[in-house]
Amino acid sequence: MEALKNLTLSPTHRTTIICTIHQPRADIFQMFDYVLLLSKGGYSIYCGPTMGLNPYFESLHFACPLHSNPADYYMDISSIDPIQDSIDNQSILESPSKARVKHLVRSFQNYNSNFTSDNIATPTHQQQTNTDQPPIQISAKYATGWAQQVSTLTQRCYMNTYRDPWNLIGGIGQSMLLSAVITAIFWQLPDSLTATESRCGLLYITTTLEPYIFLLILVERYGSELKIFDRELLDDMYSPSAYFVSQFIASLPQFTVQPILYSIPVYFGCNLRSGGQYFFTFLCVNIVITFIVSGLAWCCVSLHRSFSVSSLIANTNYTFICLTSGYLVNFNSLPIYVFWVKFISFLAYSYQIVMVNEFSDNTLGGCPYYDDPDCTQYDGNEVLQSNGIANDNYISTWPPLLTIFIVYHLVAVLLLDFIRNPVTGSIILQLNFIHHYIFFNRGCRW
Amino acid sequence: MDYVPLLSSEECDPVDVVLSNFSIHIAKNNMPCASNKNKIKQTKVLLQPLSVRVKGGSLFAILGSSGSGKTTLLNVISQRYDKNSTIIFGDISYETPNRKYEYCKVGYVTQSDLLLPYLTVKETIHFAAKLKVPQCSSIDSSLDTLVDNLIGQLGLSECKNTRIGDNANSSNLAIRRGISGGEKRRVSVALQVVSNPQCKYHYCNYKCHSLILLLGQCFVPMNQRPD
Repeated sequence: MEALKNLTLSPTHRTTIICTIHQPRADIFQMFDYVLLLSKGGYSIYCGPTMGLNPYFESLHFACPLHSNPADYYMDISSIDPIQDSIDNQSILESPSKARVKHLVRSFQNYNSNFTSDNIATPTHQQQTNTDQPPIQISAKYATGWAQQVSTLTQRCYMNTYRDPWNLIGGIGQSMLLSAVITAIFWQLPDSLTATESRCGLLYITTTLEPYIFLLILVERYGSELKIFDRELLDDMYSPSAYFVSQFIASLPQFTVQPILYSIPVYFGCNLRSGGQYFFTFLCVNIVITFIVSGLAWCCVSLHRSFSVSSLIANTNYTFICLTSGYLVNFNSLPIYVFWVKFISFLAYSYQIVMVNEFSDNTLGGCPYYDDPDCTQYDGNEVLQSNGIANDNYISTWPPLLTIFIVYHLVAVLLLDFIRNPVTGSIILQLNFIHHYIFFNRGCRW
Repeated sequence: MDYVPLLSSEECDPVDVVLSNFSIHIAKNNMPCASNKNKIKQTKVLLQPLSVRVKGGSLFAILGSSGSGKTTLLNVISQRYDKNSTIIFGDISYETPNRKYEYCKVGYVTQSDLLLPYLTVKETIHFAAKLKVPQCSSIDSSLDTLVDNLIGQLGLSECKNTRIGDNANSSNLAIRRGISGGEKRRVSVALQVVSNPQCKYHYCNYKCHSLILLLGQCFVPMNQRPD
C-alpha cells in the first residue's frame, strides 16, 4: 500500500485524500498529514496534524508507551470496553474506560476552543478564500456521450460474459442437456390420435421448462453484475439506459445460439410437424421467449439485488404465468378471476403459437375410415378448438408476444433508473415495493 | 522516491474540504409520515459537531474504534446517504485558493472491491478511463499512456495482464484466484483516480479543480493481508 502513498504525495497530483484506516503500521501512520480520532458515538478526541498527536496526548498524561504502535495505543484509549461497560452499567459509578473517554472528549473541546476552527488542520498560513464568486457546478453529469458509453460497455460486457466458462456451461450446456432429455422421452412421437396428448404436453414443456431454468440462471448472473453497476452508477460513469442497452447487445449472440441448439434436437427428434416454415416458427418462439425471460430477470433483479428475494419474485411470477398458460387448465375453463392472465402471460401466447403451428390445418394420420364422422377428432383444427385455442394466422398472438417483450425491457430499464441502491441507509422504498408486489401476486393466486 | 507526473505537469488547484460545525444525525424510527420536527426529536447522533479544514493536497486519516462514525462521515462527504433518514447540521464546502464550490467531484473507494472478475487489471482501468475521461480529439494513444502511467504509479505493473478473479474464499473452482486482495484495493483506487480532472485538463482545457479521494478502509486488515 506504500504505492498508494507515493501516488497521493506526488506534488503534481495534488489530490486531497481522506481515508478511514484500521490497524495501520506505525511507519505508514506517519505518512498521514492529519489525523481525526473519533470515539464511539462520533465524538472527536483529536483532530490535527499527525506530528501533534504525541505532544497532545502527552500533555493529557496519556503518553504513548515506548514500544507500542501509536495508532493502536490511541485507538485503545479512545474506545469504551463494551464488556466492562455492560457489567458496570448497573452500578452508579461509570466504568473506567467510559470515564476516560469522557475526559478525553472534554479536554479536546477545551483544546479546540483555544483555536479558531480553520486553524486546526492547517497550522500553516491559510489563504483568504474569495467567496464572492458564485459556486460553479459541474456542467455534464457523464464524462462521455451516450453512444460512447454504449460501445465501451458493450465491449466490456462482451469480454466479461464470454470469458466466463460457467456462463457457457450454465447457459448452453443446460439447454443442450434439457433438449436431450426431452428428446429421449418424447422420441419419434407417432403421428396418431393417441399421441396427440403427448404432443400437446411436449409443446408445453418445450416452451416453459427451459426458459424457467434459464430465468434462474439469469437472475443469479444479473444480480451479481448489478452490484458493480450500483457502484459505477454512484460514480456517475454512465447512464442506466446505456448500461442496459449494452447488456442487451452483448447478450444477443448467446440468446440466439442457445435456442437454436435447443430447438433442433427437440423438433426433429420428437417428430414434430415437418416443413421448414413450421420449424422456423417454433425456433422464433423459443428465441423470443429467451429474450422475454431475460427481460423478466432484469425486472426482478432491479427490484432487489439479493438472489433470495429476486429469485422469489421471479419464481412467483413465472409459476403463476406458467400454470395459467393454457395446458394444465384449458383456456375455456379458466376461472373468471384469473381469466385475464391469459392476456398478459407470454407463455400463454407462445403455447398458442406452437399449438397452432403444429395442428392448424393438419390431419393426424391413422383415421380408419375415410369420411367417417368419428374422423373429426383426427382434424388438427378440432384439437385446437378442444384446447380452447383460436385458430388464426398468429395475428392475435405474435403482436402481444412482442409487446410483452418490449414492455419487460422498458420496465426493467425504468426500474434500474428509479430504484437506486444506496450504499448506505435504508432500503425502505424497495422493501415496500416488493411487499406490494408479492402480495399482489399471491392475491391473484389464491 | 520518484514522483512520476500522471500525464501533464499542468497543475490543478487542490481542494480544501471545509466542515464547519458539522454533525450527522439519523432518525431513529424512520416513519415516512413523521413530520420534520418529530424526526429531529427522535434522532441518534452519529457524529458530534466537528469543525475541520482538510487542506488541499494533504493526506488525512480518520481513526477510531468501530461504530465511531468513520464510514458515515465519508458517506456523507461523498453524498451517498439516505436523504430521508439522515439529518445534517452545519456546512460543508469545497474551496480552492480562488473559489468556493458547493459541489466537488469526489472519488470514493468503498470498503468492498466490486470489480468484474474476468477482465484483466489493464482492461478494467482502460474501460474506466474510456468512460470517465472526456475525449475531445482522437487521443486513444494518450489514453493508453494515462492507463500505463497509472498502473506504474500504483505498482500494478506485474499483474496488469492478470485477470481480476473472484473472491479468494469462493469455493467455486471454475473461477480462478486472480489478483490478491491488496492489488484489488489498488485497482479500485485506480478506477477513482482515473477521473481526476487533471487528466481532463490535458485534453479539453477544462477549468478544473482536483479530485477529492475518499478511501474506506485503505488497508487490508492484518489478518487478511495477502502481500
